[in-house]
Amino acid sequence: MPSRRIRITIATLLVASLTFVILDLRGGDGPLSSARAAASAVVGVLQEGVNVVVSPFSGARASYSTWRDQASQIAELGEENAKLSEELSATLSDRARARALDELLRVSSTGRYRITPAEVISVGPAQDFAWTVGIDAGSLDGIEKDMTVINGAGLVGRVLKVNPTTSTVVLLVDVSSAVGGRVATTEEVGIVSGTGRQDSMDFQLLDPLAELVIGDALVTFGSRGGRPYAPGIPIGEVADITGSAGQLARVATVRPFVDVSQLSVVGVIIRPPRDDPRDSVLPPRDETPEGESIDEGNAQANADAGDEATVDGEVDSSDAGSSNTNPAGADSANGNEN
Amino acid sequence: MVVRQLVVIASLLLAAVVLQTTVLSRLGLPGATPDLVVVTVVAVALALGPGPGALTGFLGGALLDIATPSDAIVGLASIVLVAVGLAVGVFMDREESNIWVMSLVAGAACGGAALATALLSAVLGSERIVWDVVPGVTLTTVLYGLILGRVTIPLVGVLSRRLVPEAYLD
Repeated sequence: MPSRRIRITIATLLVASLTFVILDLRGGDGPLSSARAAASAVVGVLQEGVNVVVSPFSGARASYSTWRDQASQIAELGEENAKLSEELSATLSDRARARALDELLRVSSTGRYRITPAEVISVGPAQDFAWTVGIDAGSLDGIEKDMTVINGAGLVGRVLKVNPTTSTVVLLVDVSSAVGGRVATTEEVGIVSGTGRQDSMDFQLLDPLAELVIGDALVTFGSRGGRPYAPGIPIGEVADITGSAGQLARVATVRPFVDVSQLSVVGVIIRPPRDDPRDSVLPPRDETPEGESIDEGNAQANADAGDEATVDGEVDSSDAGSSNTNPAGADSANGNEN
Repeated sequence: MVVRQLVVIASLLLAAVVLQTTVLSRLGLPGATPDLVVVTVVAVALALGPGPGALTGFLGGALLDIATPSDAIVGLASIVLVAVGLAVGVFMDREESNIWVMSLVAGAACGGAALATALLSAVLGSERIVWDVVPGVTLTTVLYGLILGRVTIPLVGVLSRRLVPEAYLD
């Protein structure tokens, strides 16, 4: 049995922890928010630093392994090779980052969103089941709570907490996230809610009789004042529908356009557009005829057209080289679409 | 000296939290994120005993919960990690020399902490827990904890022996 002193220590620590829990569950801006700001200031600086050091190297893994094979044979050449490929991969990672920024700029200029670019510097652990990431922009950069966060592929999430130099973003797949969505080219609206899984969300149409087809794209409906969600941002496409028209429990599964496990460059919408950009931000679906089809056959054709459109999207970005966050996800922006 | 011990613990935790949120969570590993903070708590408890172990757990949990990307209920991780530090410090022999036994303890602590956090947050009304993912997350976190423990425990052992030698006098 532990000594008396240790027992007193443990009791004190547990009482302190419980006090935190109670303060946190009570909500509002308590003493915890200032503790949070202080911790984020210290940890955020370190996270940014580590991010700068790590990001060129995470893309260098492939070239590093080829270097290691050669090193046993020709040590000198191998070393030089390593140095060169490190430089190359730094260039590649810069290029991938430039590509991500380009995509972001395309989306923000098409939709007339005024954005502040930011970089994801930290990710919450999977065992918390909370889909949150930290970005390197905060209140000093004009970020406020409930602003919309996007990237080149579409909606990423919204700002949850703001510190002076960092912010926490809750991703659209998190359980606490509910986005007003509109089926592109129609006026049908519903709620897209996160399920805690990274590749599926639930979509519940407000009108149970409305037509919905697999492959339909969803865009944000837009909140009052553009917060928490600005209008017209691509959310995802319908992957599966359970129940038929008219049933109360008719829920569609939506696959997000954004790959939440591969986030790097994002944009925070500082000011939403004056007019709803409608469907203009969506990637083009060239083969799809105007108006939504009703019967089963056309529905299938529509879905096929949707598939082709996404394939086109992938070709667009597939020559982006290796992504700077993960070598496996070369086409990070559209990698989620198959 | 207590102050020196505190400084060592605080630096270890800061490094663990930063590494976990920036590097380990972005590796894209299947299942859980390798839980370096839990492993650090286990390592300190093994090196310095239950008191410092529990303190490390409290500070580590608090830092993890209030540092930027977290949206967990603040204080939950502290409760779980205080228990981890105390249990490891009390039940493990400080003279235990088999590194694999110690790594296994780290892995088991990671699994236990993940399960306990899920249960506690569900009890406190969090709707985030996806129960059919929990077994996979628990198993993978045990595995990652084992691997991290193999590296971290000897490192923390050497560091604490060198930086706080007075803790080893008795």
